[in-house]
Amino acid sequence: MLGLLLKDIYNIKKQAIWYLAMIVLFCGLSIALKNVAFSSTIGILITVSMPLTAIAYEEKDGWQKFVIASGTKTSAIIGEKYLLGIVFALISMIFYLCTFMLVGETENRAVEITAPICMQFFVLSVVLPMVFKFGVERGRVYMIVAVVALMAVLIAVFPLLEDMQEGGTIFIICACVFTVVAICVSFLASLKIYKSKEF
Amino acid sequence: MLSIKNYSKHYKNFDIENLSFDIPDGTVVGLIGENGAGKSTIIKSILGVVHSDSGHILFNGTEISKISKKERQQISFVLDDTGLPMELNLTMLCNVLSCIYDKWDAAKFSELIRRFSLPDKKALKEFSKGMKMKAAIAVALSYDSRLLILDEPTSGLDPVVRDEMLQMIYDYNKDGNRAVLLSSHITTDLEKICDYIVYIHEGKIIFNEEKDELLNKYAVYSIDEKQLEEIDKDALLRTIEREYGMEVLAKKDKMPRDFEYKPVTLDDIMLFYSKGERVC
Repeated sequence: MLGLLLKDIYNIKKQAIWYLAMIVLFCGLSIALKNVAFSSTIGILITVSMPLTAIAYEEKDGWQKFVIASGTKTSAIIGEKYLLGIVFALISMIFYLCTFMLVGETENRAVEITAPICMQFFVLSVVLPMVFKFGVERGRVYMIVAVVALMAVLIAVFPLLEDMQEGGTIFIICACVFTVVAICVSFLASLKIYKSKEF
Repeated sequence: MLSIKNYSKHYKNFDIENLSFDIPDGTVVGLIGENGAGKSTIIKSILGVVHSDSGHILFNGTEISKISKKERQQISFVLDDTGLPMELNLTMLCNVLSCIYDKWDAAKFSELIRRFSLPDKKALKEFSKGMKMKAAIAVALSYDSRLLILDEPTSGLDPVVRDEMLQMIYDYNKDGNRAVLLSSHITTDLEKICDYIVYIHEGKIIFNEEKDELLNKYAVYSIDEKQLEEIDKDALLRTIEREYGMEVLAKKDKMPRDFEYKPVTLDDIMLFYSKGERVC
C-alpha cells in the first residue's frame, strides 16, 4: 500500500498544493465572515476530490491493469484510496478546528465540531463506491450531487446543532458510530465492486 | 510454464471459445490475429485483469486466479498502453515499484534505463512512444520473473527500436528457464524470434504450430482454374481471387512438384484466413 500511496502523492502533489491553498483561503473567509460553514464545506470537497483526482490519473494511464497484474491485493488497492481520502480529511479537519476555535461562539461546540467532520467521512464513504463502479467521469457527477445534497443537509442542520444543548453527547456518539459503520460498509462494497470489475 | 485449457469468454458481440495452448519453458510463443481477434483478452486474463467465463489458465500447474502474490510477480508484462503513471519520472517510478515488487532490483532498473538512454528526471508523459515502451520493458525486466508477456510491444516503433526490443526478449529467454508470450501485428518480428505461433481468428485458434514447421509446411501458389482442377483439394487451405487469376495457400507436400510457389509468411497466412475462401 505504501507504493500506491507514494505513487498517488507524486501524481497529485500539484493539485494537493492548490487544494491546501483553497483550504487556507476558505478558512480565512470563515474567520473574516465569522461563519465556519465555508471551512467545513471545503473540507468535504477536498476529502473526496483528492482520491477522485488520483483515480482519474489511474484511469488515464491504465494503471489499474498494471497494479492488478503486479499481484497487489484488491484490499490494498481500495484501502489506499480510502486512506488518501482520510489523510486529506484529517488535514482539512485540523484547519477546520483551528478556524472553529477562532470563530466559534456557541456554547455547544462539540456537536458543531463533530457534525461537519463526520460529514466529510460520510461523503467519502458514499462517493468512493460510486467512482469504483462507474468510473471518475460519471462518478464525478454523482459526487457533485452527493456533496451538494449533504452540504444542504449540513446547512439546514447547523442552526439546530447550535440549539442542541440536551442530548449533545448522544448525538456525537451516534454520529461517530454511524460514520465508522458507513466507512466500513463502503469499503466492503468498493471491494466487491472492484473484484468483479474488468479493465 | 503456462497452460491455457478450454478458455472461453463471452462478450455481447464477441466470443472466445474453447481456446487451448501452452507456453513451454524456454520458448517464445507468438500470438497473432486480426484486431479484435481476442489476443488482448487472453493476455488480460492471464494477468488477472479480465475474468474467464470457463476453462483454466494454469501457471506452473496452479490455477492462475489462485496463485500467490509471490507467484504472480513471477509474471512480468508489457502492456500496449504501458499502464505506467505518466506524471512520474523514472526515479519516482523506481521508488514506487520497489514498494510494490518484492524482488525489485533497483540496480538492474538503473542499468537498463542507462542502456536505453532514458532520462531519469523527465516525466514519462514527455517520452516518445518508443521511450515509453523501453521504460515498460525496463520495468518488466527489473524483477525476477519467469514468464514475460508482451502485448503489442513493437507497434508504432521504428525498426531500430524494434530490433532492440527483440534483442532484449532474446536475452531474457536465452538461459532456457524462462518463457515469453508475445502478441504482435508485426509478424516479421514474430518470425525472427518465436518458436511457436498461435493464430487466433474470431475467438478461435486456427493453428498452434512450431514456427519453422509452419513456414516450411505451407506455401503460396498462383494458379489458374485449370490448374485448380488438377490439385488434390486436401492440399488447399484457402484461396483468394486476384485480377490475374487465383492465389492459394496450400500444403507444399501435397501439391504437384512442378508448380511454382513463393515461401509463405505469417502475414500471408493471416491474410488468407481472414480474406480467403475455403475450397470445397
